[in-house]
Amino acid sequence: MYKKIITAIFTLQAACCVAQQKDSVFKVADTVHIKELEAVSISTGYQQLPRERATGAFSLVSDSLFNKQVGSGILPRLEGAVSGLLFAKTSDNITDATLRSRTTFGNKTPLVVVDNFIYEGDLNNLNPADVESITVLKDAAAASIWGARSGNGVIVIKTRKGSYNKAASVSVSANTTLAEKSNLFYNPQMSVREFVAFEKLCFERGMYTSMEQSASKPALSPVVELLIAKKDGLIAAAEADRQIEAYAQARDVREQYRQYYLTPAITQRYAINLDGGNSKLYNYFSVGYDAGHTGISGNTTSRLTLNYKSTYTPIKNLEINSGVFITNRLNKTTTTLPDGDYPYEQLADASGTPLVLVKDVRNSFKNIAAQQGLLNWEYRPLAEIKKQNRRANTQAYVINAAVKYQFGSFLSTQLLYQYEQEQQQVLDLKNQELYYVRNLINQYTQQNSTGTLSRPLPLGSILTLGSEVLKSSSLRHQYNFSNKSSVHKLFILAGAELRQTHNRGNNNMVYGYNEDGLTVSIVDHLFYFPLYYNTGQQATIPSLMSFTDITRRYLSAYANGSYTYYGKWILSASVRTDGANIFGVKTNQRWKPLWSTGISWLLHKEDFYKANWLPQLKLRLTYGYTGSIGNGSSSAYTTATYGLSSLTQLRTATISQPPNPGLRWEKHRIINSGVDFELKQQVISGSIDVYYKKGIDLFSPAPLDPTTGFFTGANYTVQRNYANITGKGIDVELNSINTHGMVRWSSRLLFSYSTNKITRIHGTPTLSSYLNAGSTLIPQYAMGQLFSYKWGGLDSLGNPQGYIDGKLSTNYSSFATQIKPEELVNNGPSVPPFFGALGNQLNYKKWSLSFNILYKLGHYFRRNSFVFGINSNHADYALRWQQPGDELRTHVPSLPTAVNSSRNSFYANSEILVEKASHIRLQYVNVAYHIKHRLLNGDVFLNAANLGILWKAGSSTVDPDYGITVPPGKNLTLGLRINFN
Amino acid sequence: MHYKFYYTPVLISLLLLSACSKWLNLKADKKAIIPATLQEFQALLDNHTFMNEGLPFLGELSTDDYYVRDVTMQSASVSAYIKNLYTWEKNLYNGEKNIAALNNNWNVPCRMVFYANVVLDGLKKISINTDNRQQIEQLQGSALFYRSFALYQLLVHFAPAYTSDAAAAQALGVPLRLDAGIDEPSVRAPLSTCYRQVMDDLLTAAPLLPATVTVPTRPSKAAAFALLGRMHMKKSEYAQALQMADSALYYNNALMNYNTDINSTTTYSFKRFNKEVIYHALMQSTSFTQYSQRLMDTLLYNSYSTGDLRKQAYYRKQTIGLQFIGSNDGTDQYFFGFATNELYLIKAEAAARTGNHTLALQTLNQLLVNRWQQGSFVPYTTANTMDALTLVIRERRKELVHRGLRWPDLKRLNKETGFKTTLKRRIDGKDYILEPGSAKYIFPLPDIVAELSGMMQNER
Repeated sequence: MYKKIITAIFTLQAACCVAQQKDSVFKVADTVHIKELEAVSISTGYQQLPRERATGAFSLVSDSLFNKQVGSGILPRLEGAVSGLLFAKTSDNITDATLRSRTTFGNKTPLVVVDNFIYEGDLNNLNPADVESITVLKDAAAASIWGARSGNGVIVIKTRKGSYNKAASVSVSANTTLAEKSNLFYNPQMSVREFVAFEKLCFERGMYTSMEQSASKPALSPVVELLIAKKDGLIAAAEADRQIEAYAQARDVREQYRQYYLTPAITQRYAINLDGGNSKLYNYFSVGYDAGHTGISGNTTSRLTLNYKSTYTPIKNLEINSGVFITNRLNKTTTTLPDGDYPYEQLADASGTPLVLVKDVRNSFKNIAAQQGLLNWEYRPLAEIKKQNRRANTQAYVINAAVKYQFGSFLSTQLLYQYEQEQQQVLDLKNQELYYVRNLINQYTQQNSTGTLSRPLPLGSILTLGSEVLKSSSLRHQYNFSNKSSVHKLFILAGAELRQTHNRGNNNMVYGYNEDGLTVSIVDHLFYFPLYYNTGQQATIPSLMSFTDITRRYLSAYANGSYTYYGKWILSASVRTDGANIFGVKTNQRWKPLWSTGISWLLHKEDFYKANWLPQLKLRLTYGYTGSIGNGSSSAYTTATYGLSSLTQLRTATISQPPNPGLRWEKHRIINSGVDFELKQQVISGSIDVYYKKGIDLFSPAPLDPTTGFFTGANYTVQRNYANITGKGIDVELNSINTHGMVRWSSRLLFSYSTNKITRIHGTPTLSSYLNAGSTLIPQYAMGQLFSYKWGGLDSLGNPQGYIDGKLSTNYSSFATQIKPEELVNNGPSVPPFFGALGNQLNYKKWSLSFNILYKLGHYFRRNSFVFGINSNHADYALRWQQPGDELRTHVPSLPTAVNSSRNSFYANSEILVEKASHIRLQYVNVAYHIKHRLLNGDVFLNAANLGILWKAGSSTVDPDYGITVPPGKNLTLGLRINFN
Repeated sequence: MHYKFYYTPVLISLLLLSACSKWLNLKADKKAIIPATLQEFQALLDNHTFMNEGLPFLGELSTDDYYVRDVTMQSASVSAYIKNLYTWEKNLYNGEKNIAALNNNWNVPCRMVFYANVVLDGLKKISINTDNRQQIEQLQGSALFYRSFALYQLLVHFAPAYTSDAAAAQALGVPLRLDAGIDEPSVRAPLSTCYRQVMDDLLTAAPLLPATVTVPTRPSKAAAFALLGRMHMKKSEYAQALQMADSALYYNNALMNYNTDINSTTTYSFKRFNKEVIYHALMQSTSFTQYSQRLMDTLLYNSYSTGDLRKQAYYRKQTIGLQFIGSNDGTDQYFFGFATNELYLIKAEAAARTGNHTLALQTLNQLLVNRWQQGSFVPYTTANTMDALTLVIRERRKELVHRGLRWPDLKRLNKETGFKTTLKRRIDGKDYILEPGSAKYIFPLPDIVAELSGMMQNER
């Protein structure tokens, strides 16, 4: 039934063509050709080639492996599926992936290619249901075809497009994910009672005096306000103590956030794919729709994707491809978590009525102001749940067309074009009900000597609009040459490519916006208004009006070839040269080519090869260069940006980059040697790759003496091509079939070892750069090597002790200045040198169970602790040294009388806070039931993901992968995937 | 037949490649400018946040014009190095390397030098014609002035006082970076070379600068002469100082009359860019520069006579002490630029020092009559030039409060037996003393600067 409808649709579309029956197999005379198609084929973005013919290091993620995970994104599904690909999670961006050992200091994310071209837009635009397979290009022979942007490896996403002579088919998938509420208690904090006691102590030490006396009347915590009132005799001492005690017994504000703000995150995903074709035409069409709640009350996301592709052979030897891909994404935010500073604050009273919290300016002053006629200045966050209106909308489309013509049997030529556009629009409408707006209006309210009020920042809503448009077009012209005989096979491709990406954006903000009538107010952004809460302080009304316009152009020529001798020996070579407008200097014309070459030997095809137990054995060796752009913002010339002075009304210019005449591409030299093997009956199959990389001329912040006049804040560095780094590693992928029969058990083991070492770096690293956790760049060590002060325990007064010249010392300022780097403890790498995954799949009748375990081993991290003045609410406060003798049971220093930043930085950077980060986690468990019917086949599955840590070496509660970021909660997905035959 | 068909696209590809090298010359970021035009150079110099503001506070916070209460010294929110500065500690920076506000005492003047050098280097590449000559000259003069003023600030804080030519040839000055490249290492030049560079540049700049400017963040002839006046005073070249002060006063000698020209309704007495202001410059604000922490010295306050309107124009009595309200910025920011009142005082002092008793008193009285209540001022008379000099120096301190001049004046006057001053502070019952001529009058370079540049550090 379905089949007929779909077939009918496609028949209509291909008006001139006759739909073929499913079983009428199209016969092709060249059987060799068929064979090659059947073999596993990998995609480089420039060609499809059978895996057998490759000399480089490729990883292929098949459809079935890809679909064991269920998220809405594509890249996250590669975690635990590709050897050598390491995901960092401490950053918010989950796609923060590194392929093999890192040999750049700049952007380390691999290049992402969709079908034939680099995908410039947001990867979240793509629908995972459209993905057919993913190829990861790891070494120079594999990736150097991508030239100056291939240095971090390349991920090629191949999307579905259908095929000739395939009866129409429909597949449908639907699933729902339910995720736990976010764990706000993940970062250990002082108890409410401890916090109150701590505030009392700080108050006694006069730490709030300057704030209390400050002309700008900054908000003080409720407990501090009570202490001030008590001190000033405005409240009876007993009453103040009673109220403070009530705060000490209050319910932690995080529990209230959990109660009022958090909801379980629910995401639903639906996709329908249709495809089919005859001998002249085939089509693919898909629709995907995802909708979800983000886990905070009232915030939602949705995505709609449409994809259509068509391939047509109008006359013999001519093939025309075309496609359109459209996405619409919408993220709505109506609630944000309040930034509550005090753990004892109550969001609501017993009856649920929202309460006033302290914020910005002291409440006593706010109350007087309200009597003077200012807007209500109370901050009641709970009353603002679902009251915001922020919509981020992304509309993107990709159009592509390609023509391929085959001249006889040797030569073909292709012309490919792609246009990509992505438009992101953010609308943020804040009405006067919101505290943010009322606070801003009140701050700028002017009161003259007679008490009359005027409002230079007008009543009404504040509307912020932002828009960003990305346009990218690519044009490629390529020749493919192939010549095959029984002895020699030669494949050559050569071509040229033009690319331009253009990013344009603007932001602006208007005041006094009135949705009824769409009016706005004109405000004076130049005048310095005295602020209501402190007339001695003057400020202009904040303005937001900014534009961006960046065009990047690339021009490349490339060639790639392989030669096969007797089907046993394969030689490959690739060369590419790039120009870009980024550098703005002679480098553009320098046309430095990046090249690679490789050889592989299919040992099992040799006559002398007799090892029947090992029917497949292939050796590979490659060498070559890939490139990268570095941070992309560098320029050979002194560059500056314009501004406007509100003081003089004159145009100003600020230098953003000092001159850098020696600017050039970063290069990465890679040697890779590998073996692919397969035991009899595929009991074990897999590959082992060993590589050595060298990054040359790396962009990196080089220390710069600020006497030169160039510095930014306290950052005394400048970007230069000065560093070299070497990397090496091993990637192993083993697939095994452990049992046959009733229960079929197969496993997949990924193991990677990767390390790097900085070999050349300009200047001598300062002591502070040794201690810059996670981003250290120290010669002869790995990037991010962790160093710390040697720990000498606490002294009898609870002061942390270190060593200077081998002797115990508490002279903290000397730790910052006099200590030699050799006296620091080298803890080890902060990036795991060993990592990988172990996946298992068990099939029993129609049931299958699969699960994946991830491991990261051998690295270290620095945890947080109680540091007075910096991390003042950490739970370690309870463990601090309080009386002599405590030094025997704790390492948390005593509370000093005043903030001592040298002491703080000694403790925070000491080895006692460094922990082993090795851990093993359960990534997902998937249970599926296979349905097979005359009309359909498919799976119903239950997937549980983010299942947490199974084992870790460290003792603290911190998840080493996430650091202080709250890890995502466990989630459960129920879904189905059905194909209608 | 087929072969011809093959060629066409090959040719097209080759053509495309060669044509497209030009295609790559497009500037990637429209926001980025590569300064090359006169307008762009002017915009660099008009960046007053970088070119006129953020001047070093090390000297000003070490003077005796103000005090902080013991409670402020105990406050944990005040950085250790600020407290050390206040008590003239030997180990001033306490190992702090990454505090921008601290390092900016050195870095901000260096950035002014860099910007000026970018402009000076760029101007060399522009061919002069009748249309642009005037603007080029003004830009060149301005850049030279900004560079000189920045170097002056570095000399005040990081180099010793100028005692004699012989000593100055031996003493370490500050690095003289005279082009915009950043690859040359920084080397401290001898003090005498630094003075010569600054003064020569100012002499070059003065004729190029305009007589009047639209906004006093831009330098004028008067500003160049005023700075030359300061430099000559530091070198004890009084005849030249007198000449320079006169030259500057030729372009602007306006004085506010405190009976009529000050605003008593606002928090601060003077308007920004008032008529006395020749060149606008501000010190970097920090903890002790906020009113709630900084209170004015009561001895200084008591030295004003009744009828002296500066008592009300400069100070306001608050419950915790005396607030300074006399900044030429019209805010609580410290004005470190040039104003006409300083020129009168340079002229009076130089006149006294060159033996011109009458001119010294006449000049001083010219200024003070505008500072006293209408009709109550009795022009000063003194018995001899020495008394006149003492009077002028006393009045100089009373007039130029929080102007960035007390510290260099202490350095300058401590060279003379008659004018040596010992600074004292008492905190929590403990006394702190700064002896005249102490090595603590020269601040160490920020530790990070000494570390990154390898320059010779000042011993304290």
